[in-house]
Amino acid sequence: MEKLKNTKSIICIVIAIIIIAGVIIGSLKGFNIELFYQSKESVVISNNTGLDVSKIEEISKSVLGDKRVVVQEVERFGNSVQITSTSISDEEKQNIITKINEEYSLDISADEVTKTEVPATRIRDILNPYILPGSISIIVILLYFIIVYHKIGIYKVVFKTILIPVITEVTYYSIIAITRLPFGRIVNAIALGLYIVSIGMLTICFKKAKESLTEGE
Amino acid sequence: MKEKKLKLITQILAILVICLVSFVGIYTQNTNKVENSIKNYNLGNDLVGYRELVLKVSDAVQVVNSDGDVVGNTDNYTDSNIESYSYSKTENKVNPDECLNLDNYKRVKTIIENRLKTFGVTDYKFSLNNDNGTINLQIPETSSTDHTISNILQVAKFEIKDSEDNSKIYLTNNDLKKASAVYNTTTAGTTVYLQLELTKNGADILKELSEGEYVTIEEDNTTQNETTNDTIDENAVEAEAELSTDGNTSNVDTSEETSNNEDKEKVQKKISILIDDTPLIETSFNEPIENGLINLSMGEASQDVDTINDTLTSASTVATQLNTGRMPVTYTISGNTYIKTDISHEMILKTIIGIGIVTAICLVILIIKYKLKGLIASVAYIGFIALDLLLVRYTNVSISLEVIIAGIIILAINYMLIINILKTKKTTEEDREKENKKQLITWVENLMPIFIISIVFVFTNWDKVIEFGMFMFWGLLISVVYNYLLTKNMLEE
Repeated sequence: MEKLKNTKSIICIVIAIIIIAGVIIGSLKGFNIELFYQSKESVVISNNTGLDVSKIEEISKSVLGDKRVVVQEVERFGNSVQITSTSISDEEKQNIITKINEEYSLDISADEVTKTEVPATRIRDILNPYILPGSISIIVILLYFIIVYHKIGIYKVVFKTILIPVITEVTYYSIIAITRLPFGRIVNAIALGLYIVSIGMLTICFKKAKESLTEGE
Repeated sequence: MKEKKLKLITQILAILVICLVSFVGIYTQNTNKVENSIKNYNLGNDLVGYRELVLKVSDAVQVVNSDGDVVGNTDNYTDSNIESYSYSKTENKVNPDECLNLDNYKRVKTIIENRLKTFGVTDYKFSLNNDNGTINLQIPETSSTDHTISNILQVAKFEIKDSEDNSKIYLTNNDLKKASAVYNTTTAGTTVYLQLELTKNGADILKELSEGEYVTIEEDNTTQNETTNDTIDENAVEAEAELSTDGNTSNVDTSEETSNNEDKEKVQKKISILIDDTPLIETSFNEPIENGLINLSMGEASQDVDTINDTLTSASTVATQLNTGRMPVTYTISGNTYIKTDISHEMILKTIIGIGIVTAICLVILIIKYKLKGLIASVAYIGFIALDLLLVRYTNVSISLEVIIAGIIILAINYMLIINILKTKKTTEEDREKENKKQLITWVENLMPIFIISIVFVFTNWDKVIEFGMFMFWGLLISVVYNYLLTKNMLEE
């Protein structure tokens, strides 16, 4: 029993440290946002014969150096590609086009290729769609838990039902902030999964507590 | 004993059939080629691609006709068009400098988001440049994408004013409470109406107008309003308007002024109802309008279902635009391209292989620990995966990153249920039924909160969460039923 208490305390301390570190890093440096959501610049290059995405990616990376680069096919005919990076200067644009012209023996002029600035997506806007379903479901789950597990103690049930999923999510996002993993689409999808897992674990905990309470009686 | 073995073999064969159908498919001859009859996977825009729009604040100036009336702006008319119609450009910008501020950009964002939701687009990515108002919008590529794009940027400026004197504007968007598309069916066919419901203040003004100088003069030959019908409020203005299928209003002047009108002592005054400076109707009032309802009939009565649906869509589109409010800033589409996803097939394949390897390891552990029972349980588990993959195709769930995560959770839960079955203590024949019932209740109790979350998610308004909930719900349900009816049966001694 004493050992179990110690383990619980250690877990709580570790989680607290992760959250504090995550909050500090998050507020100082922010998340390492995926290029998909970042403020970026893009150029679309097209020709009549077709462009190989991997080849263009290679060329773009050689010109843009350490900057993040994403090369995507545009439209459905495979003759246009969009090069997106955190920033593309006019000189870099010119160099990319020159190299593509050399590679494919083309005559694309830099003036024909326009650069588009794409503003960043706010983290609030990214997370917004998850908030309403999450909030509604937690209220419904809370009602369910109060009805089924009220014997454990209503305050305990309410406290844990709200706290556990929140702590799970905050810890997860803190780990993302600390490890500098890209904050993007997959991160939010996993967060949704973690929410389900935390509720599942909570159910098992409540059930065990209820069973031991019944056995005690 | 022999009977039990035969039963087990039959069950394994059934699982094998499910696996073949799900993993390989059913191939049938279709004209000159062999096709898989099993439905294909529907990939979401995360894994396929999306439409990317760049929306910029318009720098157009107003275009006027020879009478000085505004007919549009330079975004709608090219220089050659302006010349051929004998129009002229003015110095007036469609977006005056004082309108270009962050508050208005944010209002535009809210309006566009509301319009997208009304058009059924919930899975979008919106980013706004706070300095110049440029918007980058990513929406899924569907059959209605072009319709959505052509209708999200309408300014939706609503006005009721004097048909002759442009300075007399009586009602604007602020007086409009609600717009809706309604229809009425008579023996002549179905007529679609755009119903405009005014606020109390707007209704008072309309009543005043309908009792005052805009009353139809008896001797006048101007167009009479249509006869009011049964279901559409008899006390409402009814007039004809015409809308093109993309929701843009087109000018229909129903007035047929006669030359002798000028000779009359009293000239018939009319009001004009305009949306985005395009007159929908010019009309006068036969009787006072007291309830603040205006019913604009959209074209003539029709019995053709497609025509009715098209008209209803047009009316709904205009209603949506009006309900979401007037855009404080006029935008123009400067980029509209389909972009293929940056998540490559290679990455998806690696993920699938990763999940496959983890599953295989888990099944090997099961076999090592439980020997023959573990092997039978593994076969049942593979059958469940096959069934789950059929489910994802036939519930029309688009595979997104969220759905993949839901799939992983379902696989984990199914694995736990199988372990639960394997750990079940041996019981006598009499107790077995009781034990089975107890086990089923435990499963349902443990999974109930996740079922609840899944159901709540299904009723939200964001595609990815809906699909996550949908897949989760059916996956869990099938897992419970499958394990209770099949896996348990196979593992019973």
